[in-house]
Amino acid sequence: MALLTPYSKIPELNTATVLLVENEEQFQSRLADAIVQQEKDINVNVRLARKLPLPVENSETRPRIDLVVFIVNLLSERSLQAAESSLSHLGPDYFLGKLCFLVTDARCGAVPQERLLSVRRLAASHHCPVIYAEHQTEDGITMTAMRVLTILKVSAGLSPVATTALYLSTFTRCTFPSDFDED
Amino acid sequence: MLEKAGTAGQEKQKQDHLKELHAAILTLRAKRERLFAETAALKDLKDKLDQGLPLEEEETDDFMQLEQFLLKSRLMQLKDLQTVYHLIGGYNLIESKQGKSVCVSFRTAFEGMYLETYNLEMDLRRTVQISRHNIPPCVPLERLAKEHLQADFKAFLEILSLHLNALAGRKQQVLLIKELIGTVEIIERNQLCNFLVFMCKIQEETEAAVLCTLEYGDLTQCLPTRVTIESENKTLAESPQWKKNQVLLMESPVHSALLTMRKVGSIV
Amino acid sequence: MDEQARAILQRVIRKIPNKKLQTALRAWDHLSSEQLESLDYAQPKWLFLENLISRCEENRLSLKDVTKLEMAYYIDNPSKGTWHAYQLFQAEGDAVSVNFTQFREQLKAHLKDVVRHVSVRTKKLEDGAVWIRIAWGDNFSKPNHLKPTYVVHYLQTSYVFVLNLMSKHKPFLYQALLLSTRHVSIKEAQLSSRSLTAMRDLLMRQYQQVFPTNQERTLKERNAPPSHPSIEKEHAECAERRHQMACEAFGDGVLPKLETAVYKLETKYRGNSNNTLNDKDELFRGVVMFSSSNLLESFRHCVSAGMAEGPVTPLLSSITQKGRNSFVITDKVPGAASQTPAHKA
Repeated sequence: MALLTPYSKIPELNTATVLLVENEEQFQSRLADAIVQQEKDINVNVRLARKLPLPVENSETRPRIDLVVFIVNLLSERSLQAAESSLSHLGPDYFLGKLCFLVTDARCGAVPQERLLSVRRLAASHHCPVIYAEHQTEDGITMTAMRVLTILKVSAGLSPVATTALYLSTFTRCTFPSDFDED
Repeated sequence: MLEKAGTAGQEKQKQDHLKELHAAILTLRAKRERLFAETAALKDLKDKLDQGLPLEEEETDDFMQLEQFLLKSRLMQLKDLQTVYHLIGGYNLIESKQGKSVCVSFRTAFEGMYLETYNLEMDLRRTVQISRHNIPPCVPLERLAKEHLQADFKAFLEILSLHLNALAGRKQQVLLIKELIGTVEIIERNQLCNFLVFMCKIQEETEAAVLCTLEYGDLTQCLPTRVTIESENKTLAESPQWKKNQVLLMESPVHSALLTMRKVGSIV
Repeated sequence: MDEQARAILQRVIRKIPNKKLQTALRAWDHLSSEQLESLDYAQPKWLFLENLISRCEENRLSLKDVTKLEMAYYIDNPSKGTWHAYQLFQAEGDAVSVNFTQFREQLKAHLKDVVRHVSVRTKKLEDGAVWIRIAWGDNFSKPNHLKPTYVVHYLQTSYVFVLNLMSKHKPFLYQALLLSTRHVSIKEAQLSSRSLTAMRDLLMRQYQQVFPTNQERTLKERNAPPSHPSIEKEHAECAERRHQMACEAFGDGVLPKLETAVYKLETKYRGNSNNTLNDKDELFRGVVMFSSSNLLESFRHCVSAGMAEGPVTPLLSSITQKGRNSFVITDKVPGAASQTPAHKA
């Protein structure tokens, strides 16, 4: 069982690669389209996967992955479970600012509150940010793509902002209010 | 003196080091320029891609091209070989489920035209058994399997292929009658196409007609084994011309027989 | 028109929705076009029926004509009621040469031999289906046209579809069918559904099956180019394999609309949690039923979306492979091979 590691491959010139992991395969392709259409300056590769580990056959052709995004669909219990089980296939370096969670349907009334809470707890315990995405409107998708791209550029070292971990740790702190541990 | 020589040596060392650093700067600059150029080129390419412009074929490595052509020609060779096998009536045999079963496909054809392809998947684990297929239900597959499958696999494929080919041929003949000779009315036919009744008009004006019944006793053949000709006009069916027609129907595919009959004026 | 004819007419008219009445009566072809024009199809059914009966009486239509209307209704609506499939075995040498006229005459003769009062009506459709309507009576009573049995058979095939057959009439029908189709035995095919077309398509393999030999083509057709060169699916191959597996098990394209699959369990309970269930001698009997508006499509989706782990269990793939939707699962007992289990789990 091979761990996915961010530094085992040489980066390509002016290129960043993001891996979108979603068990249901509903949102990922639309988000991927939005991401590649929005970015003009750098070369963005998007890899889509259902879960980790990734198939060994592709490991030769796969570029270095700079950011892993777990898309969690709150309407489905399995979605979170799949993300959780995939976490163990990530190399430790990803947890230093190369990983984020993306939650959809968070505003839906039918979603049990505990599920959102457990996503946040999971993200907090791995020190990575959570993005809330609106996936039903064009604007929502564009906005989400923009946010993913911002993080991606930092984690791929293409942005002249300090270091990845530093940048994302500020982000992380914003995402989790201090009263989080109390509820 | 010694000190001086030492400092001179140091000076020289420093000079060398400086030169080295200068060289390093130059190479790094050149590298940067190259990377910049590469990035620009990539960006250009990406822009073109985004706008949907066609990409120019860059001068690719000759060797790569050669290898690709060789592979392509090999592939074409193999495909040709496969077609040859189909043409001479071979079967497509594919192993599946890690060798636990085998799938055979039968291509049918009639008068130089390819018709349907049928498939048969067989389980090889214990005795050979048919697991699934898309052969029409009217083909007596069960009987054929019982007679030949265990004893002689090749003979089974052979006879099944004959059955399927003949069925496709008979079906195609009926289609061709409808297509080519509109005046002939098909009264009865069945799924196996081994029983065909049709009516042909003798003259345009009168209602006089002849009822032909074709029975195909041998299911591996496209030609009938019995032809009956009936008419209200008793003498007509007995006439030498219709005797000839009967032989014609026995000996040639029904649509071409009918076309010939129309040409000689037996039917309209 | 006698009382029985009226009753049947009433039944049929009640079943046909108002907007389809006109086409149905026109297809029946027993009333003149003026008569058809004069009827008001928007009327309430009881009033419409009164008018219709008077037209029928003008034409002196009899019971026989009314049964024709009923038959036409069933032919157009083959999804009313539950159909059961039967399979004929051991065809005799001349079975392939039975034609419709012979079949009809023989069936009628054989039925009349054993049941004195029986009314049989047959019709052969364009696609080769032979529809048979049988109204049963017995030696003392006239045929009961209110509860007819419908039988559909495709000549030269070994499948028979039956609607509304009472068990006391089964032997008569069996015998008549065997003699007229030139077969030796007949058995229930363990397949039943509300949709006759689905059963026919399934048994006669009139749906698109996928075989390893035509895999190449389907793969090529499905492999749509990605929307953008920089997007790549890591699990594309995997998904492709799963889809292929699902299609090989259940078929491609539109699948026969089967609604249910029933598994009767006659196995021993295995498990160590509950002692009361773990009775070594008693069988743990139960019934598992899957139901859906299109069962095969649901199964295919489950497998191809990765919700069910592959390879597809033979329990599910037997539905298409063996053409049945009712199974009995028994334990494999060594030495009891003679009573072959309906299905090896």
